Amino acid sequence: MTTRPLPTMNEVSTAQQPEWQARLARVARHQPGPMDDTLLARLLQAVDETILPRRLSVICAQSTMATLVICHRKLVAMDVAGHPVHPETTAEAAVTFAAALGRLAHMLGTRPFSLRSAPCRVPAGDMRCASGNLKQALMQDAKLQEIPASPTLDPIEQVRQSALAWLETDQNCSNFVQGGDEKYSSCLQDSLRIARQIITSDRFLSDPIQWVAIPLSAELSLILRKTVHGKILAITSTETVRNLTISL
Amino acid sequence: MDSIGQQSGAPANDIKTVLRQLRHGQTGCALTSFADLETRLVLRSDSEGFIAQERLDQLCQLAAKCFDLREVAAAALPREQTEGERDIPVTLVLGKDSGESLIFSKAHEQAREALLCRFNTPEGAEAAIAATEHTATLLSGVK
Repeated sequence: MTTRPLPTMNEVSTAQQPEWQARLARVARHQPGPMDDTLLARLLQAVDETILPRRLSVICAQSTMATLVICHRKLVAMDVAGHPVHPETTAEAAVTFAAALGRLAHMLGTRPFSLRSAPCRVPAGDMRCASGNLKQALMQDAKLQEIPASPTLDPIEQVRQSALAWLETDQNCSNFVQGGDEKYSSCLQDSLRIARQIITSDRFLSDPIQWVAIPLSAELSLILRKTVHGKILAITSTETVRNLTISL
Repeated sequence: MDSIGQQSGAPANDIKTVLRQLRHGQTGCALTSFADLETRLVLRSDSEGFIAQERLDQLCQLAAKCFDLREVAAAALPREQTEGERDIPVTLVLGKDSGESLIFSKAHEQAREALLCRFNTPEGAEAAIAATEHTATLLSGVK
């Protein structure tokens, strides 16, 4: 990583810095707290400073919330909560990536996060986006308005992101993917066995159960929720589970 | 059914009264019931309209499975995470596709009876947790 001055023609000049910071602050006002613009600023800085291919992971509560692949001071690929961000055209790359960064900032809210950088291969494709373009896209009023004042986050993402550990499985419970703290793996896998019977078979008054919140100890709860293709189980702190259940 | 009252000395009608009071005291509470999780039968219930016994027993089977899930999951937690008070009420909250919520409360981890309630909204259920736990404790050991 180096810190040479921003050279590209797309960069926002130093004179414009207060302007984009103010705009980023406006983005931040839509969020519950001040962490998000720090996140955006840090990610943009990482794009500026990274020359050799690096995979940058945004970690919160031991879960990877997003990964950015950066090379030659450009963002080349990104996923948020495991969902790849696919710009349709090179021209749209900045707007699409910026919208994804906005979503990420929303998801993170005020929670603390860390960034982890690892060497990687550069993925195929020609989507390349400099931080200047990202800043401009974030600054566009139209884009800012697209970020809702109180975002309705996909409930599954909400579960995954507030979890200490999670396990997502298909309809038959034959395959699953896991994330988060490994010390909860056996708890989640054992739970899956019984959860299978509950979500797939139980019905009461003719409509099925969508989610179950189960306190396991003073500190930890288990969340079980139906997804489109199967179910997700998550170990969450009991502190956050009450807020989560209202919106599940 | 009446045997609960005879075994414990608490008249079954008293249970029914407690269930009715609980239901009327909560916003959007459509059903309160008292169940034996071992036999998987609802012993007493109070509801807005008629609910067939087999539906109630289905609810009890669901509750029993959910408490089984809790037991399995808690047993598989790292040991340092499971220390703590065991003699406190345990409440599970469930959301249905329809937007209704269910609450299953036991007076403590080892209790074989549970209070099973249905609410029209998740907010109503959340607001009622303390009351259902209190009632579960009140009815605990009635059998």
